Amino acid sequence: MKIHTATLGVVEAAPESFLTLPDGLIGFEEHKEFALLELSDYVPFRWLQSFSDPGLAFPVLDPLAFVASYDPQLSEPDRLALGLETGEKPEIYVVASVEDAGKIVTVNLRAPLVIHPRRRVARQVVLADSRWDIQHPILERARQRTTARASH
Amino acid sequence: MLVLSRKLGENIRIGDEIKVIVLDVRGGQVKLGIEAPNSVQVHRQEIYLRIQEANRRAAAAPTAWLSQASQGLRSQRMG
Repeated sequence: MKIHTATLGVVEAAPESFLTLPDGLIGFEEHKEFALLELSDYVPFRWLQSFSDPGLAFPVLDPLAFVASYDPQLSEPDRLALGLETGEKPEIYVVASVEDAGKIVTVNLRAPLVIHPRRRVARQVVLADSRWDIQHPILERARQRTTARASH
Repeated sequence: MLVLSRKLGENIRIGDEIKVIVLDVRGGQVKLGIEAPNSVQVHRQEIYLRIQEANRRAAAAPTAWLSQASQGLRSQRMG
């Protein structure tokens, strides 16, 4: 189906992309229905687009593509709230903040978006492990590395 | 705001399903035990506020910045 958004224009969203967040995102509890969109202009980002507010969309990323050691341990209440059975692996995304006209990207590793793979129900969980940063840089560092290589 | 005094080991009930227990009081720090249904998320206030702020910033970034950042991330992967 086509959905009208304020920032992304009219986009095509397959029913498989629909997600229900019964508790919303933290600070955005009133928005519960979303589509997880993959748009070619923004790869590797995906957009978590709200159905209730056409102007509300969150860029998210697959954390393992950027932080290979990422291994979030979900609490039992979070697993139960999502309906995850023992041994069942959720899909995981992290919310990305883009700053400085796109030169800096940080991801929130402390509060990932956890999706039940079959039910399409999701929750932004807060991990107990404080090792995972709320603003973990993934692009700023690459720029510094590139600069260092170029100076050789 | 409702203000209640509680001693070590005493509880507070919030509705039918939430119980807060005073487990320890030592040197200006209170240790609380919280029993709540799985559907109720319990967070430390300062962590909750930082995550709320991160979500707000994420939603506020202009799409042009996202498009720029996506190119940056793609070239980083290739490099």
